[in-house]
Amino acid sequence: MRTLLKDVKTMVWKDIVAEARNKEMVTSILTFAILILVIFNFALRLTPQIILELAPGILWITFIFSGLLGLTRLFVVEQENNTIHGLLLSPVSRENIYVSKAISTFLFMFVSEIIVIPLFSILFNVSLFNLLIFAVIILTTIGFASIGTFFSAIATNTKSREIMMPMLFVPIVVPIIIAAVISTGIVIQGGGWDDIYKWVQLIVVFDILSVVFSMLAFEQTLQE
Amino acid sequence: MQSSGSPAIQIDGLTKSYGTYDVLHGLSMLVNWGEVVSIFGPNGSGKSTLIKILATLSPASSGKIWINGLDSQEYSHHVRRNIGVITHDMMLYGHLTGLENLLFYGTLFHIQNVERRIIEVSESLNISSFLNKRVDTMSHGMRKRISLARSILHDPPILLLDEPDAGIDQIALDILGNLTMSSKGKRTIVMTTHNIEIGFSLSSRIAIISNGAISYIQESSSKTVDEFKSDYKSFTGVTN
Amino acid sequence: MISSRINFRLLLHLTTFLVMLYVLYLIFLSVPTDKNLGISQRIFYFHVPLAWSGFLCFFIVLIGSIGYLWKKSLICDRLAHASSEIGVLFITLMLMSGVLWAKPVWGVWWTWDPRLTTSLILWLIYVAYLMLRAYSSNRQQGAKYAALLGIAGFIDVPIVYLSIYWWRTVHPQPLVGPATSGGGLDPSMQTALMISTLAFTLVLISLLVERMSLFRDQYALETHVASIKS
Repeated sequence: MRTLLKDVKTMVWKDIVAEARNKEMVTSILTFAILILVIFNFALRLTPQIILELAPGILWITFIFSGLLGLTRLFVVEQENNTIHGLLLSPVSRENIYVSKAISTFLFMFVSEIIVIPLFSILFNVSLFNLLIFAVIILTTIGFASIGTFFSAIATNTKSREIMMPMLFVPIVVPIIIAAVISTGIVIQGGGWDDIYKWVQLIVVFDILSVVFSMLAFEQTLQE
Repeated sequence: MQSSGSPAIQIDGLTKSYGTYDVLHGLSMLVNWGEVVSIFGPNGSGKSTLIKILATLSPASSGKIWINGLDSQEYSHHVRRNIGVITHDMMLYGHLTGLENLLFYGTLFHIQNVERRIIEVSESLNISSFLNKRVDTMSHGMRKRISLARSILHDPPILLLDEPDAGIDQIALDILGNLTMSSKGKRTIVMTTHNIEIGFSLSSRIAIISNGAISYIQESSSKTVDEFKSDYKSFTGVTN
Repeated sequence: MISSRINFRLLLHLTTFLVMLYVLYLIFLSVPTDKNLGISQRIFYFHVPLAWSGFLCFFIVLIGSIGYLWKKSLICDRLAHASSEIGVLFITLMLMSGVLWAKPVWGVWWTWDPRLTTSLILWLIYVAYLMLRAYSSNRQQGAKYAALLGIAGFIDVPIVYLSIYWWRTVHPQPLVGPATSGGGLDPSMQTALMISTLAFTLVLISLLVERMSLFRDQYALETHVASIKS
């Protein structure tokens, strides 16, 4: 257990240091997110009356598509010098490689989302500063990052990463997209914990299943 | 680390198939402690595949491999501590410095006193002067040397080198030669190469892979380079 | 050996053909027209069996995927691959017949009903499954990745259904569910539905047998060509 934590910490730290130097992941997610928000502003006539109705949808479309951009490029870093082989040649277990990658992914996606939220609130005049919304965002991002890391490992090894990643990812995460959009909407409209309880439960079940499945199956994505 | 009695590497009936096509077919081989074995073979003969399987990067379709007496499929964790691997991939993170890369890998191998070990290895490979440069700003030769340091950081008794001489500068080549020479008798080395002169001069035994198995294996002291070149031609049908 | 295999296949296809012929007779000539829905209700006899056999296909994909990952059995891989193709075909037809039926009965081409929507998501997952095989760098890799998706997709479907079901209760839509549910069916209609389900299951098996043997021949040929080249 202690070596597990130590190995995971070492690998996550390496990802964070590399990201802090090149800022590739967070910047690409973030700029893409801002572009989506701007397009929404022009595509929909967002009057104060309907913004409350549409805000959850706009928010989550932004998170999903900008997040996908990051997920698609997840293992590109490890491919450049074939450092993935370096990881595989170390005595670290494959599960730990998955866990560390999923944690790094979660951190990068979450940091980008944290920056998008105030932007969103300013641009569309809707306050998203609510602990329940944060909880929903964190739990849903765990789901995105855990299954997304798994599919990214698969998509990276195919001939067309850009096509395969959304095709693999989007249909599978439909349940948590629905749960996230609806519970965000309920909270924006003034609902409380009791109203979103069952949706949060659904997201948690999905997260657990996706983490367990990915940990068990991750090794299979690496072997040649 | 070496358990007495068992050879460094024992390969028994190794087969690797991609779909229904066998790259390696019933390959068997024994490597004793302290030997340097060079494996030659034409492109696509399965040299790199063999190294990958020995390195536990790729599973065998059938057959068994024991490294230091351990079944390499079952005890892959332990096996990885016993081997150092060099391929044409550097396996270094460009955005990190040489030192950070070595620290990273050293920590993953749970090396005691990583810093001291890094200083030791850096001095022997003469890389201390650029250890604090970011890898993506280094020259190819520098990177190759950092990569060499990475592969021997955990002091593995067995080294697997897949075309280590491909695309490296003279300094790195000298260091590689020194490493192989100074390791003679201390480290067991299995390497693949296209360069018959280099491979021949560095190794104690020479082998040829053809048709997915070892078709030729000899003591290098029993041959001259030219004799071996003509042997190579008759065994593979190509002059390399 | 060879002749008995051909005989088995011939017998299977003949049975499928005869049962299908009988079903067509039942659907178009024998079963009474529904009082409320009229002639369009007859689509029902295709729609429901297609859905059933489509879902069965994806269950077979699951079995094949587990078998392939566990035992590395190439037959399991061919089973999963063939079954996924047939499943996508059946669900495509099922969605199309649903659209044709919805227009005259519900007044809209499409409704985001839980069953219909789940089928659509399911269809997308298995289209991704086929794409994964097509875009993989070699067949072994494709087989392994597809098997992983075959399992993940199957685990996901109940959660998809639940989430869409709950979502519908939050955003109710004007028209809900099939206009006639099982209870109001004439006994002869029920019989026709059951025999039609049997017929489509037989079509599924027939296609599966043929497709798997085609895959086997194709791979054998490819191996042969590869061995000549090398």
